[in-house]
Amino acid sequence: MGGRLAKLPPPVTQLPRALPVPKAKPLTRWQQFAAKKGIVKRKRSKLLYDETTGEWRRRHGYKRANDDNDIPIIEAKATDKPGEDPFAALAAEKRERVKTNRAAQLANLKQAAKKAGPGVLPASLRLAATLPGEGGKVGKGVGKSLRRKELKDDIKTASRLAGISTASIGKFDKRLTGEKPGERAPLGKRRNFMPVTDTKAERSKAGSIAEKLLKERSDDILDIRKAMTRMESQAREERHQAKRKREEESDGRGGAKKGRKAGGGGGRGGKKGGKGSAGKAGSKGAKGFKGAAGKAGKAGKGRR
Amino acid sequence: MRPLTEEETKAVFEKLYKFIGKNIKNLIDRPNEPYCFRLHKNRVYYVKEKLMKKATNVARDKLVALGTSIGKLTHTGKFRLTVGALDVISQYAKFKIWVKPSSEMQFLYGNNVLKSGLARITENTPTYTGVVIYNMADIPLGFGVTAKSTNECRSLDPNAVVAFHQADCGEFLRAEDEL
Repeated sequence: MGGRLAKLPPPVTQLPRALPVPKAKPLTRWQQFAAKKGIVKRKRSKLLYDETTGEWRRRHGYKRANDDNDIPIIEAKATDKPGEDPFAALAAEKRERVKTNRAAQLANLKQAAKKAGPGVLPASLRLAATLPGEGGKVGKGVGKSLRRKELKDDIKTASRLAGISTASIGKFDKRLTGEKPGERAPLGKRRNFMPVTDTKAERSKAGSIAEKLLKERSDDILDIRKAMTRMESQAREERHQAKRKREEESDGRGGAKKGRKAGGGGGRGGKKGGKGSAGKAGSKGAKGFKGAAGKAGKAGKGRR
Repeated sequence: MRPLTEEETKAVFEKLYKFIGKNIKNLIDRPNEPYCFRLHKNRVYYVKEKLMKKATNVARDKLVALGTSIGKLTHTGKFRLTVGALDVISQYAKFKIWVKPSSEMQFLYGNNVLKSGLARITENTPTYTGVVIYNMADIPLGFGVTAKSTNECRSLDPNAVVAFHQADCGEFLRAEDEL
């Protein structure tokens, strides 16, 4: 067998991320302290040498090394009072340690949530109304009054469903005291069709729908008369504008202080009138020139 | 069988408007013989009112068809014109295309109308309007949608599509089951 044989690595399908990259959680109190002091996390060994039994036992779990419960005898010290139980004392200490540890974890979570929002909390706590052992709203959960409203809505839905679960969908059952008329109606609109043989009503309805459709597309449909009148009014408007411009120019050059009815009063007033009329004609079309003339005339009067 | 709801009527009129424009009013307000639209098993029928009243005496599952079927309503409420509407549309068509005898059969087999088969087209036909296709003896063959306007048609090469095929008379033989 000649030739080279290349052994390729096994195929890997790169899937894109399903969820966005999680943002960094803020450091806990211990992590901040360790970072400051430069303390490095060291891995602990799984096995530990137990002094009492003289053998290697696991650190945590079943038959662990240095278990508190396995101590057979505790010798009394000089400082011990009679009547105290040293075993109970050991158990109480352990409970204390666990309690402080839990409280510290909770405090860390609260700090993190305060700093970076409820997203940094673990998923089991995110929807909780309160953090375990704590009052007050930290997670996304609802407060007491909102929960009450949800429960009330649940009860209402349940009672409605029960009410319509009869043979006639609750139509002929008596209404209870305190029940409003619409509460036990089945949800969902029932489609009502027009009667099959009522042709007059149908024809008028179809006619109105057709008219609405045609009105929407009326620019597509050419109405000759309308188009003609529009064109004519536009042409009229343009002619009038040109005429007024010519009149104003001749007025300005002459420097006459005499006010003119249509042309606007004086040089300054005329200019103002001219600008106003041009603006108005642009927006209003046929009506523009009349209104502008009135305005220019007024402006001229004001000048004097 | 039931009359169309508002949305359904609107869908039907919109489709018909593309072919006959303003004349959709004439469909309802016919002077001599009033017609109406009825829906039966997702098919829209255009039927005389007298005939419709007689059809109410037939049971719903036994009724096969009434009047002329002009189209079908899909399950989402959209309306599609079928070849049965050809009769109605060709009466009031706004834009028409005449097809040469050589490519008449091509259209009847379901192909689009090419420039090489185009004999005549009405003036000022815009693009993407509904158009009725006739043969040279002025017999309506079917209908479709224009791909090019009249002006653009003049400067096309012979293999370009002028009108997209939507329905033709050949469907009566080819697609007999679907009618």
